[in-house]
Amino acid sequence: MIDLTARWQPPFSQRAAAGADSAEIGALAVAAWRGVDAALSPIIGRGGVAALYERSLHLASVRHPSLIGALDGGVLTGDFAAIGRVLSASSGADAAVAHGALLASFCGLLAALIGNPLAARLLHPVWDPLQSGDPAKDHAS
Amino acid sequence: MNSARVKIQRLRTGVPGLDEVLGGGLPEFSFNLLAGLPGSGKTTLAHQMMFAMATPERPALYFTVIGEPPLKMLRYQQQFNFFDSERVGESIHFISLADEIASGSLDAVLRKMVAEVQARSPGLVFVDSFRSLVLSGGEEAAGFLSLQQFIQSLGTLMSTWQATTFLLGEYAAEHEQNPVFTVADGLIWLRQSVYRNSIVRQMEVMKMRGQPTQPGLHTFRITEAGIHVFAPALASAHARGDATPLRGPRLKMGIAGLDEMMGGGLPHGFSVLVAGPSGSGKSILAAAFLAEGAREGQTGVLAAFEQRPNRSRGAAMTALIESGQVGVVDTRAVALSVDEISTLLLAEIRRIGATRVVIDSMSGFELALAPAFREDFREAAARMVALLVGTGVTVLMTSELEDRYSDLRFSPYGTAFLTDAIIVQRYIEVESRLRRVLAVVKVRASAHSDELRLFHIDDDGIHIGGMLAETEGLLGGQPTRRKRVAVRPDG
Repeated sequence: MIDLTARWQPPFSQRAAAGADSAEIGALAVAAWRGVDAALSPIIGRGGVAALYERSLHLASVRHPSLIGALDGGVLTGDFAAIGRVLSASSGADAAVAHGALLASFCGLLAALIGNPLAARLLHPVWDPLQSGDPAKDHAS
Repeated sequence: MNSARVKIQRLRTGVPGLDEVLGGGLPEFSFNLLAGLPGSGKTTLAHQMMFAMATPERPALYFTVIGEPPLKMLRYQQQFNFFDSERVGESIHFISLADEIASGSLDAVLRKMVAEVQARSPGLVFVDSFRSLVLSGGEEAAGFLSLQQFIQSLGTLMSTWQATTFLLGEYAAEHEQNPVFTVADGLIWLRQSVYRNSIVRQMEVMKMRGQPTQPGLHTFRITEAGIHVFAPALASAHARGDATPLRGPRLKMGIAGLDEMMGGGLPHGFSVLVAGPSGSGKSILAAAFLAEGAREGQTGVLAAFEQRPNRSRGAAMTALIESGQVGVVDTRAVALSVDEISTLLLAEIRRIGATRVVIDSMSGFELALAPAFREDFREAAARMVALLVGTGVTVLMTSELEDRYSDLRFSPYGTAFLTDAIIVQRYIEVESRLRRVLAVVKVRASAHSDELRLFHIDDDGIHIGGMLAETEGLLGGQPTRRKRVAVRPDG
């Protein structure tokens, strides 16, 4: 079984360990979520992506309450700036951990709904750019 | 000139039985409507065809509209064996039209579809559900494409882009006025018929341009393997290649004395009905028929309707089944149709190259049918028997026969006409004991015994004895000693 979160988390934790500040982690997160939106919204619609994302924020905010601040409805238009702002407001290490929790919630939710193999397949286009570590890459459609 | 005619390639749908109903497959580049009420199986049918027909060279686009949320559709369709996640994103692409639908403009929807079609050059396009799309667009929406224009544009676009297209729609009635019914090349209607407390799924190909479809309502079943359509098997498609009468040595029945009573055994390709009351030994005779075939190196198929699933069929029959000499047709599904059993029998006959078939019993078969099909049982059974013997197999059927001593009956409901030969078993009372007798009533175009013979059953099966020569009135159930008439020499 593919551990979806395990494929996503390293770029964030590695950046944090290398001393990246929270703004950099936030920018990487925004790029990652734009990639997720680009990969999933053609298939399940913006509404589908927004529903999954917002549910994930609720789940992750139980242990990381600051994440709830990212709930601003912008996702419906493909705008993920709010998560960048929320992560930028904490330390780099905390931002990486909180974002890890958000990723875990999202991947777990998607895998629970459509199965791990199909979830991994749909999210595959998001991983490679993340591994390259270039937050400037913009996957928005 | 015939040679100048365009040749339409027909795609194999991957749905068992559907290609036969369609008249040879689905015409390539056709524009089709899959219609039916919610829950009738449209989305499952579409997915099964898509996974069967899509290839990297002929990719499929599956447009989802607001009918069923895509996440739920992907979640549930994965439960079917045909769903292959590995092909999603390669030969199969799911595209949501939800955002365009939200705009309320059919122009926006069409633009998105055109863009995706141009980008991916699909060979197959599905729109699920088209009804939702139409309702959200509104027929009178000012400033937008009219519904008629939209359908015309879509049909033309898909045909010229050489895509075989399927619109899925929740339509309740085929007489509904709807332009899509006119534009469509193919119209496949899925129904769930409710009769008493049973539900039967049925499919009708109301239209398929340019090819001879099988008319009528065809039952289908949805299992984890997907949809299986039970088309009425065409005798022509299964018949032996030659039209000459079957020849060769007659088949042995596996019971000493019975072959002689039948004039030398049962002719090849005949159907025989074994009728008798409960417990008279019909199933034992049927088992002996299959066992004799196995001894002669012939395989057989058994469709048993009266045995409980976990109940032993007897050590000898179990051994034949386990060794593969006898194939068993699963008759345990609810609400069966005669077409379904015919399809399963033909498949099993082909699979093991069977020459003997046993249906035990016709009475149980009728009870296992969905109530809606019982009225037509005689006609459907006659077609089935004709079909089976047309393939060259020899068929033995058993039939429950209530013992009536006031009239002479050989089978219930007049099913005797179905068969080429009839063997009847009866109970009689002799000296305060219940005894069994049997007789060969009919062997078409053949001499046969007219004797009523006693028989008994033990662990080794049926043993045919002699006649009760000194008695008469056996079929009345209570024979009496024949009175000797003293003959005085004249003079």
